Formats: sequence, C-alpha cells, structure tokens
Amino acid sequence: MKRQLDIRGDVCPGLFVKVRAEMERLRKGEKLEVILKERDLKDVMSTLKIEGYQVPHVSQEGEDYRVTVTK
Amino acid sequence: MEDLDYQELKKGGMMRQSEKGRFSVRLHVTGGNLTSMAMGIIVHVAERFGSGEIHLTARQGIEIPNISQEDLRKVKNELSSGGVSVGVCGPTIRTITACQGCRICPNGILDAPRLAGVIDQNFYGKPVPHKFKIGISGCTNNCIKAEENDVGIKGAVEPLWDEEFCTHCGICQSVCPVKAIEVDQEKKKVKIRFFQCIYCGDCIQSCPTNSMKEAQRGFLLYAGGKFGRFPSIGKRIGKLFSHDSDLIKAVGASVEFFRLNGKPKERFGGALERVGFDKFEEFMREKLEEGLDEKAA
Ligand code: SF4
Ligand code: SF4
Ligand code: SF4
Repeated sequence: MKRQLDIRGDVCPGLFVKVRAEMERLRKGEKLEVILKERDLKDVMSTLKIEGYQVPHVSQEGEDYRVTVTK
Repeated sequence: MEDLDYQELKKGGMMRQSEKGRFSVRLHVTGGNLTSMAMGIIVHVAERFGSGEIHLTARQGIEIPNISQEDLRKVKNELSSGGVSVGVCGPTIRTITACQGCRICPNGILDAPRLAGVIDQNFYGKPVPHKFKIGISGCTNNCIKAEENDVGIKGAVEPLWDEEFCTHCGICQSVCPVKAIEVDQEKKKVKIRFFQCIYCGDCIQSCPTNSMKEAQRGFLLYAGGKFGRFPSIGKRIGKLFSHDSDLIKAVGASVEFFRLNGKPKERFGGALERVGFDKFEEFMREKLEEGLDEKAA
C-alpha cells in the first residue's frame, strides 16, 4: 500500500520535520506520496535530492503537486 | 606620547566618540567571520580597556567603544597578539561583507567568506577616491544585499536542459521564480528563455531526474550601489562571469576605473552615472580579456 503525507497545511520548518520523519520510517522499495503546494515545491524537491531520495513520479493538480518518493 | 597617538590616529580605525578623549576602535573583520580566539581577545580588550560593550556595525564590523586616547596603542598591541587588527576609515576599500556561503548554507553556490578573504587580501584598506564597499552573496537569494554595495557579487549558476531522462514533469517550470522555463509536454521539449533567467539554479536543484544541469557556475557583478542619504541600487554589469579567477580581475577593474574616473566625495555609482555605465562595461571587458591581474598599489 502506498503511504501518503499531506503537507499542504504546513509551513517551514515543521513541514520538513514531518517529511523527514516519514522518510525515515520508509523501508527500501516502499513508496510515499507527498501532497504539497506549489510554493513548497522547490524546497521539498531540493531537500529530497540532497538527502539522496528518488522521485520516480510527479503529477500536478492545479496548485497541488503529488510527488512519489522512494528510498 | 601625544605624537605617537597622533600617528596611530592617522592610520584610521579609531573613531572619535561624542565624548571627548574617547574612541571607538573599529576592527578588521572579513566576510563576517571571526575565530573564537579572535572573539576571545576582543572580549578581553573590551573588558580591560573599554566598558565591556562590543558593538556590531551595520556591515558585519565590530567596534569596541569607550577606549581612552592614552590606551589606543596598548589596545592595538593586545588585539594584534590575538591576530586581530584595527580597521580602516576614510577614502579606502572598506570591510568586505559575505554571507555564510555554500560551506554552511544549503542554497549556496559560492564560498562567499573564502572569496571575501581573497578580495580582502588584495584590496582591503587600499586608497580610492571615496569609500568603497564590497559585499558577496553566496547565491541569488542575496542575503548580503549585493546591490547596495559599490561592488556587489552574487553566486549564480546557468542551467542547461538535457533531454535524455527528462519526464516533462513540469517541476522546473513551476519552481522558476521568473517564469523563464516552458515545458511542452506534447512536443517533449523544455525551453529556457535566458534573457529572463536570473541564474538562481532553482530548476537544477528541483529536477527529479537531474535533467536540468549546470552549464556553468560563476557570479554576477553589480556596480554603483550605495545607501546613506541618497540610496541607489547597483546595476548588473555583464552576464555571468566564470568562477573565481575572474573575480579578482573584475573587482580590480572596478577599482581601477574608479581611480581613473572618480572624484573625491563622489561614490563609485556617481562616477559611473557621470562617465557612463557603458564605458565601464567596455573597460571591464577589455581588462578581463587582457588577463590583467590587478595588485592594487
Ligand atoms: S545569499 Fe544564498 S548562500 Fe548566502 S546565506 Fe543567503 S541563501 Fe545562503
Ligand atoms: S523538472 Fe527535470 S524532468 Fe521535470 S520537466 Fe524539468 S527538466 Fe524535465
Ligand atoms: S536558473 Fe532560476 S531563473 Fe533561470 S531558468 Fe532556472 S529557475 Fe528560472
């Protein structure tokens, strides 16, 4: 089952604390779908990249983005 | 004794206070960084010769106020024993400011404090027609406010799209702060409009497939900014300068142009307005091509 994390209502730095905590719980091969606002896209994407996660899928729905993350 | 003090005062860095016979001693700080050892000696001097107060100036400088005139020499000696020297004032190249840069800040492109050190070694305290301020921001977020300096520098990066693994997801287009990117999902093309691009690198940092690459890293240079009574914003000179080696040349060319064209009491921006920014751009181009290695006299 794909886990989901909705951070549309969160702001920095709490947002990153949530993302990190979720990512740490992720097992190899497991997927996490993060739902976020466009305004946080750059910070979230660059953080995921710096920390070495993979982002195999991204989709956009209006102002929202759904980003699939794996370890 | 009086004579010796006068010699010390003439060298600058001892700022006369409102209260007669007292001085605020300005220190030489580079890129906003101090070692703990330097900090220790500053604290010691402030306690022993001053009032225990230490003032942080508007441009990352430090002043120790409430020093008596007769202690100036001793203060200078104590400070230098801890590797701290006295700053400058008057028509000279002033404190080189810098943000934390890429060694500390995740957004950083340039190692701003290190470059501040290099510029400092070449230019700090050197004479110019009027005071001359230099500041370095590690990236285009510009925490150091490059445009309010006579010469301001910002770390910058030029993007390059590589189509091989691009999924046309649209993230680069969404994150671009100036909407310089267009992702055409049907034609599977990504277009960057470089005349709009501010070289921030957000597209590169955000691309999930590493399809936005770095064409080159370097810096943007802004000239003629100042604050004070009549603030003005520095203008960008040239495009993206390639990393590091050109920096000293570009700063050197700016200083040289100011020496050739500036008047006393006129800031660099005033000289540029009067003589023409285009003349300066031309001068800069020539100097960079010449491979001039300015060691300011
Ligand atoms: S200018 Fe850029 S590198 Fe420097 S502190 Fe700000 S965000 Fe970081
Ligand atoms: S973010 Fe990367 S993968 Fe997505 S469209 Fe831009 S270049 Fe292509
Ligand atoms: S470097 Fe910045 S301004 Fe230039 S295209 Fe990329 S995101 Fe846009």
